[in-house]
Amino acid sequence: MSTLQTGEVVGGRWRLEALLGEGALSQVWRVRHEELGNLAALKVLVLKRPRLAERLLLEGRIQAQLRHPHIVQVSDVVRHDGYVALVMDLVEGAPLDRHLATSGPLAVDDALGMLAAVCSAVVAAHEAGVLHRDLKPSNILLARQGAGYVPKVADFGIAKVVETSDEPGRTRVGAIMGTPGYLAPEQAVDASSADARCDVFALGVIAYELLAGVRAFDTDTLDVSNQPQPPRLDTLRGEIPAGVAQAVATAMAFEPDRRHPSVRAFAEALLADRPELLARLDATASGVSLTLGTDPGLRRTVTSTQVDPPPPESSSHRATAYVLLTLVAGGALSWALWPTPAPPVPAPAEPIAAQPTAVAAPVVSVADVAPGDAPPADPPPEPVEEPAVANAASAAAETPAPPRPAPPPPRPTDPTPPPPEPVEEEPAPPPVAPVQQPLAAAVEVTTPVAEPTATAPPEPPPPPPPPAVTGTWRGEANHLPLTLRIHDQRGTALRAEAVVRTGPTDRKYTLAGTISADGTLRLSEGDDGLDFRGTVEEGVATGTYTAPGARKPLPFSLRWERD
Amino acid sequence: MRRGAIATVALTWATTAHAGSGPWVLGQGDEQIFVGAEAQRFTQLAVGDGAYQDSVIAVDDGVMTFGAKLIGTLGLARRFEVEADLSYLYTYANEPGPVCELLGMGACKTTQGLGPISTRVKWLVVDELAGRPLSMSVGLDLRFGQTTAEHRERVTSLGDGTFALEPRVALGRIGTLPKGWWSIYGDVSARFPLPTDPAFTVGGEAAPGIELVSTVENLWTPVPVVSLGPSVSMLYRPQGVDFLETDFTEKDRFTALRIFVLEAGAKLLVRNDTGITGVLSVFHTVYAVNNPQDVLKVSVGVAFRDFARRRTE
Repeated sequence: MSTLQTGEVVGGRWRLEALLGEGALSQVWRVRHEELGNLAALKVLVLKRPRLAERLLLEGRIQAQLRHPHIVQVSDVVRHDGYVALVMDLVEGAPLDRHLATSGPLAVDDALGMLAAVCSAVVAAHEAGVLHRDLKPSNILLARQGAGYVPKVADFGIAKVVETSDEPGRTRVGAIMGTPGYLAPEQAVDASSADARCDVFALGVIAYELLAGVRAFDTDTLDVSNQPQPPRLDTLRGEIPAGVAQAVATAMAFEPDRRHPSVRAFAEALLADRPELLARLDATASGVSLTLGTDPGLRRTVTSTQVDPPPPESSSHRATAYVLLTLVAGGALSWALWPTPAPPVPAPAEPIAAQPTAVAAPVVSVADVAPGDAPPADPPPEPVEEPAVANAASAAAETPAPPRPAPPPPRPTDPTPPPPEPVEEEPAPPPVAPVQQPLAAAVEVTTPVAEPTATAPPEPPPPPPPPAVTGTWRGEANHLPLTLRIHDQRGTALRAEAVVRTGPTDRKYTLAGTISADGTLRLSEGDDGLDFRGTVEEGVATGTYTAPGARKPLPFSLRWERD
Repeated sequence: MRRGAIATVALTWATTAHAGSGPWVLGQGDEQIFVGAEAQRFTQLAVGDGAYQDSVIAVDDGVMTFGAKLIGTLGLARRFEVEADLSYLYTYANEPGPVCELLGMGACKTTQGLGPISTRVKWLVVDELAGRPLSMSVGLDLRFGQTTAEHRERVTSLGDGTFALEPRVALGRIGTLPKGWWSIYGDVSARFPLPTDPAFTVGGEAAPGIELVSTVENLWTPVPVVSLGPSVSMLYRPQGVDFLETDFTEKDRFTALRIFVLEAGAKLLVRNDTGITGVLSVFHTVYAVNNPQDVLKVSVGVAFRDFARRRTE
């Protein structure tokens, strides 16, 4: 492994402050510019192998072409003691997969806002001739900004340059790179055949996960085409519009010809009923204005004051460039970017003529804040325990990502409560459920301009958690013995298997659904299959189910047995 | 699990291997593999007079059969299942004596080889899960018995040597118990042997004739891990001749017989949570005409649900 040490200076200007993460092939460090004092992330290859160094440099060149508020920016390349490293934006925040693991599915508005931002980044990359090819929640970093988050797409490390270039293709025919569950089937067969529709597939899978709270394809094999398509989103959550569910289902089609032809087409289908989100699709490179706010009369044009990256290595002009930068922006930037436990400094509203005109990243919207509305008085709760720089996700990208660990199912305190005693006896407490961290509370539309606002309205109380229902439930469906095993619960989202005993032969059905705080249960096979609807109360689930060929809903009754 | 055909004089398909019994089918994409072994023995042959048993002939020191069975079942679609059945049999006479000598044609020589190969499709047309009071399925078996044709004249034969179509209908119902369930089903099939080349005939009659096969089984599962219950099976071949009327010089001397067999027994299943089920069954002939009347049959086996899926995970 690399012998870099904390405190070491690489490239003559970047001091290593802390190791943020490491994978089999690279390390990610937090570094500080010796002259300017700004922080950045340094991704260094730990093996001195020319071919891997070449690939890292290719990654850098690709990402350096992409200047977008929702793409992690690469600003420099350094060589140190035979090692090659990329300097990129330091993103303080957790990756999206970690947030989902603790918070469950997002509110629909949150998810669509997130997807609008991510799609705008991928659209910009595609229009620059760059594919990502490894989109997944762990490659979407949630950079804290003010009271909200800015999603940033990272790790274009295996991106394939679509347009013709001077260099021969880097991807060997037959080489397969990507992450199980998010890799398009045709990519699993031959990575060199990847086109924009591979990213469409991955975005569809990510959209499904954001809205359902569970992975669409929970598998460790690269080729998902032998998996069943998951239930439609609108069969899992009634509040998801049919158009959104259809757009996600189309994006996840196994045959590329059945998907949207481009990420833009996917975004347009997904956000057809949300023109204000669709407008952000083109909030990209320099000079493009992003309209914010809910008041049609209020339009703010935001540009960035992104710090210029250090000039490329040039022994003849380095000193001059440093002096100029220091005189013009060094003092203000040092103050602006000085590290604090708080989120990074927001960019000023007024354009600075000398600065590149990349548009500042708008915070992912959940509910547009109308003029006069104040942001919430309290900052949102932290979705992660440590302020780890999310760039570490890219360091681990070379090693296979472990499956997301399911949160340990909370044990019901007493699913079958004792017989009620008269009066004095209190009812058994409801089972403990995982606390939902709705992103809606943490994300809002804000503009970088600080305007005096009115006093913040009181926050609505958080919704009560749903009951924990994982385990084995036994009973009957109509007169047939039924065993229901709920093996995965993340917030309100459920995955289960129903086994109908039919003599010596059992019939098994894979179900997905939801449980709400009031105990309303919905489990469905999807697509005209079995569909259970009922309520859960004190360890008993009752309701009705429909089955193919049934003329009317039929009763079912189950009792919780065990985990 | 499906009950195979009952033994006849020529001691064919001792197939008590069980898969897909009753009208019910596996779920779509589910699969099951059953591996089993069985042994059976008889010593007496009931000779018929018309429809009834007239006398009993002791077959020297009896005939033993050992068999291995492999059955694969696949849920092709919702309510639709296919199955394939393969067996290997080894049959011998304990102590060939005067009766064997009298029968001639190497009647009691040891015989081994593939038993009849069966394939089946089953369609659950009425489903209790959809609210119906009963489940009903229709199916069609194809029995490829050609591998047993060569030695079909023996008492120790492995089959009647024919290819047959066997349409089937099954009815059943399931109910719940406090911690388990019960099930009962009955099925009836008609086996139509197709003409062979040259055609099997005895006295101008096609041999064997059409056969009717029926099974009724009732299983009780007080707790999910164990099921137990009785089972009764019947085989009736109305067309044919009585034992003493057949032409003992013909290769099809036994397949030309008119046959009736009724046997009863019990089945025990033990299962775990991972889709593995052990099966033990014991059957004994209750009444027979022109067929062995004291057949004792014991089979054991293990069924693996979703075996292939388990191996790829």
